[in-house]
Amino acid sequence: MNGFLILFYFLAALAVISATGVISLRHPVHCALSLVVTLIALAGLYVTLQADFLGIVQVLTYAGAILVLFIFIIMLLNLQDDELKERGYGAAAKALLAAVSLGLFLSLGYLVTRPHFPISALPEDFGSIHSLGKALFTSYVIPFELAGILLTVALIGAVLLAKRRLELK
Amino acid sequence: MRLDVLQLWQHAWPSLTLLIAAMVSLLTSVFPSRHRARITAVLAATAFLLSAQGFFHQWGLGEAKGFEFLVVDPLSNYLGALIALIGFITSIAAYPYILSQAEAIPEFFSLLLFAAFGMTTMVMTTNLLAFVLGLEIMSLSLYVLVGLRRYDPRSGEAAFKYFLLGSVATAFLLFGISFFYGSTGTLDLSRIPELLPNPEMATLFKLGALLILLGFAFKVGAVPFHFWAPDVYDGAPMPVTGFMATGVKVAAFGALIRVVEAFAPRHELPLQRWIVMLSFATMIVGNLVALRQRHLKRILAYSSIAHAGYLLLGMATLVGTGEIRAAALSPILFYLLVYSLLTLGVFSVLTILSSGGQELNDLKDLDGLSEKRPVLSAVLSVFFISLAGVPPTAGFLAKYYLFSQAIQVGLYPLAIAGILASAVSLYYYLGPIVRMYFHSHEKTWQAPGVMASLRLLLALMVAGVFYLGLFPASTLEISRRTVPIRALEAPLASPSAKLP
Amino acid sequence: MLIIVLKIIIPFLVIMQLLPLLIWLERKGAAYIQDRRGPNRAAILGVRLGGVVHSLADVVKLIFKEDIFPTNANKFIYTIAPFIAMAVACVTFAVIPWASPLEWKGSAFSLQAVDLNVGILYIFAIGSMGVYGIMLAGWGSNNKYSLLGGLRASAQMISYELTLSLSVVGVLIFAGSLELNTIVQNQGSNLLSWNVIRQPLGCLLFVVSAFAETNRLPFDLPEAEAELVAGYHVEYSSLKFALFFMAEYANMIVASALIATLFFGGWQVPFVSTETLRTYAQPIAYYSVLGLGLFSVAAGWFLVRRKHKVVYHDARDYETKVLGFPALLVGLALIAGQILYGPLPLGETGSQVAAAAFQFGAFLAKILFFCWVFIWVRWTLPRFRYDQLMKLGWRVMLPLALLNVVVTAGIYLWF
Repeated sequence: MNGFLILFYFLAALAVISATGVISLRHPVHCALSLVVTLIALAGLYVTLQADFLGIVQVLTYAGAILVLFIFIIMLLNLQDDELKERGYGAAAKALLAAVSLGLFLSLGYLVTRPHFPISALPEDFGSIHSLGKALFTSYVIPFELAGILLTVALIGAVLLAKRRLELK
Repeated sequence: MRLDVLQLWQHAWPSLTLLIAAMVSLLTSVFPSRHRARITAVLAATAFLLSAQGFFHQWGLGEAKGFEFLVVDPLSNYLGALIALIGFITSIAAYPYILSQAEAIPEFFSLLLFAAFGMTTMVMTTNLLAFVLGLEIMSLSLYVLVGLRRYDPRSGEAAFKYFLLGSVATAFLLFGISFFYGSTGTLDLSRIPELLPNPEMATLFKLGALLILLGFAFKVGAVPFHFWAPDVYDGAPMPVTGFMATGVKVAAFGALIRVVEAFAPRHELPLQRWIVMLSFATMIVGNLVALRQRHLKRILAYSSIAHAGYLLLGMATLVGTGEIRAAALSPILFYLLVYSLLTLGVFSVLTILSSGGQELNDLKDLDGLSEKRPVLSAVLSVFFISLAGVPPTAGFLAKYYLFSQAIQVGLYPLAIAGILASAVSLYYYLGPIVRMYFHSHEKTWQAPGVMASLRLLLALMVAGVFYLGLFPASTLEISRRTVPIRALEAPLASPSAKLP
Repeated sequence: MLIIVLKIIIPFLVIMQLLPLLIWLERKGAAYIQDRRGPNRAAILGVRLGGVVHSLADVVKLIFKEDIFPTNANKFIYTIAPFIAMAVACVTFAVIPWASPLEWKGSAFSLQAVDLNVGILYIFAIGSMGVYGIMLAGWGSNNKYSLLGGLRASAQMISYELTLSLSVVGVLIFAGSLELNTIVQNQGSNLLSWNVIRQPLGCLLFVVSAFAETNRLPFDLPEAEAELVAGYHVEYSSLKFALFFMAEYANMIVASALIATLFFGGWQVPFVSTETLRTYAQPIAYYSVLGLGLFSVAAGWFLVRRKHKVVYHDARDYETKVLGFPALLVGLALIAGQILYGPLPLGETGSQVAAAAFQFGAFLAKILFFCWVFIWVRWTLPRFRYDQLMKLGWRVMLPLALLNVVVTAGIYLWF
């Protein structure tokens, strides 16, 4: 077992545990912070899988920008403890839900790990910025542009819904 | 591989026209605010018409051309033309409505164009990556359009519900796509029939296909994934509801045709059984629950669910042995055309009635409309009756054509269920008509006069209902000649991650 | 393995050593800009070193202060926040190249902790984590002022991160790489080919957004003492406060190092290329040691000759003598050694190391200069108002940065 493998399993465990934290912690800020940890662990996983660029970009956009805004909003709401009522599930229901989730998780894990995926040798410059950039702007240029349009639409929509209200006629 | 932009423009210009118009319409904010709504409306209507004409022209050429992620073939052109026409009718009908709103929002038309562009992208691709992006462009535009009446809490609620549940649907879809990619090594649907089935991957592949199908079921509002539809239709602004009820259905079913086409040859998938089950549940639940509704938009929501069931019935007939049955495609396409025409007709009239600044909602609001607005009432009745499938109209013929295909294939129980369900539907379609003609009006419903262009449009649509019902031959011929291309000339190579 | 550990530890130590120096520089700079003397009391056995010793006194004070937990503060978050702030500042240093790579046994040996092919993006990614330290401190303290400070910090840092990243794109286009070492090598030793000349607008935007990212005046709204008392670190005391305090200066060093690396030639000595340095390493080393000796003698002589004033009536009165005589002696020893032994033969490796040492010196000088600029600006400019800050960020800087990208790309494409 080499170092990379140990690192991979450590990060994987971290990602799963913190993801559990996202849905089980009580305070929204704690949930958001767990999500940050999950995303950083995922970024680490990408790096161990030799996708450096993807890993870094993951940290940069998700952990560094999107989650900051999440937490920003949660902080602005400034929830008090009494507003954070316990969700209305009994212990039995919780146990049942947990069992179902665990069952789903295990069966999916079984499904995914059972077959032998054909793995080809990676090209020399796999995951590097040059190969990624080339792929994005040549073979994948249509999805790339479509993603750009998607973001434009999202931006317009956000501005439209959030802009200052006009005086009623 | 370099993309030939000129060639792309040559084949896909009708779709790109929508995109360019959407971008340009955002720039109209330089004009004084008084004229902005008008300028964008004219721009949008022109672009939609131009695009529809372009799609039809391309259809006439009958060519099939595959780019790396886009496909231009008769099927995509047919559906594209339909989407552009839906956009055109919506933008004409919505104009007075938008002007009457407290916030006259010219961006409405931009988002309409963006949504239509997303829809055309959905039907113009066999690649799941481009499909998801198109789907999200459409969905995001629609989320905002639904929440456009910002001062109306119901509109916000609808937008939020739609957003949350739509995201869940997308998650399903993406999850399915990831399994699909893991088991096949490609995102391109057109390559699926050629891939050798790997017995180890069969379960994974099946799961992926099922999740993708469920994502579609959600988007078209099939039972049991229909819960969002009534709430969202109810809260959305009237023209947006019409656009959603028609455009989304056309785009989603168009894309579903390609998915079914790709999956049909794979025998390990019980594709027909899945679709039959979905269809059965959707027809029954949609029609029965509609009986109990008191809100006009909710009735129409359940009506659209029911129609999704009929269309799924068509999809079930599409799955033959080994490959899709081309003969079964034409009823679906014809049904999509007729359904869009009728639903848009209903919503156009309702939009006119809602253009006084107040949203028509309750069934009671229609009481005695025939005395105040006899022409509008008559037009509305025609559309409703046709939706129910009463003989001399287009609705009857579309259903007849669809059910007869199902019987030919041997799906007797499903066809019988469909016929019974559509008989039931007559009750709730007649409800509004009874209200309009046989109830006295206690409340006077304020609605402005109708623009000349809109009158012309409505007249054409009513004429279309009878034309398609009585002389369907030429239109049926068009739908018969619309086929998807089987496989692309150039097999696609995904450069970064390709399995051997 | 040892080399890797050393490569990681040495940059860290360099920052840690620079910190007290910077704090001293800040105090003295502020004092001279405000026409006062600054710290000049703290002493060890009468040695004050012009106030540097004061930083030591500060450390002692911070260590022995009571560590206070505000009531109802979130203990975990409150504790972890300063660590995040400091860790982020230190980790960033890993990819900054200190000198030209050595050629050792035919393979290049880079003088930076890790040579990532996503270099600059790594810095942005880690830097973007820095906001968590401040946000969590603001939220975890359970204090209105802290919360406001944290909110401001998050909004401000996200807004300026865009400009920060976009302003570098021009540089990246010229270098054709994200590796910082390549970017430095691409600039060459000629002053006129440095990115500050090729990318003046990009440089300006980068410097301004770097100020905002480090929360220094005129962008120090998260702590704005006039409105928010001390913003996000109101509630912190003792070593936790010290961590925030150090993180601020560490961030300053990182920002200065980045400005120097990206726009001012990094480790390049002006007008002297690496090859020249290596070829003439022997005479250069000889004369610079000689020069150092001469400087030391002159400084020692100046101190020793200072008129003896009895002011404090204790050991401090003799500080000039205590410092001057050793300096004089060390200087004389250096000169004598150089003259007696002549230029030492350095050999291949020796000349490379010597060249690297010079480049490191040049880089350090650049870093210190930009640190001084940070201090200079802080005590010269007033603070922005919050809406002005946002307007500047979104309506001025961001469009300019985009324009810079487009124009640079256009120029690169057509010429």
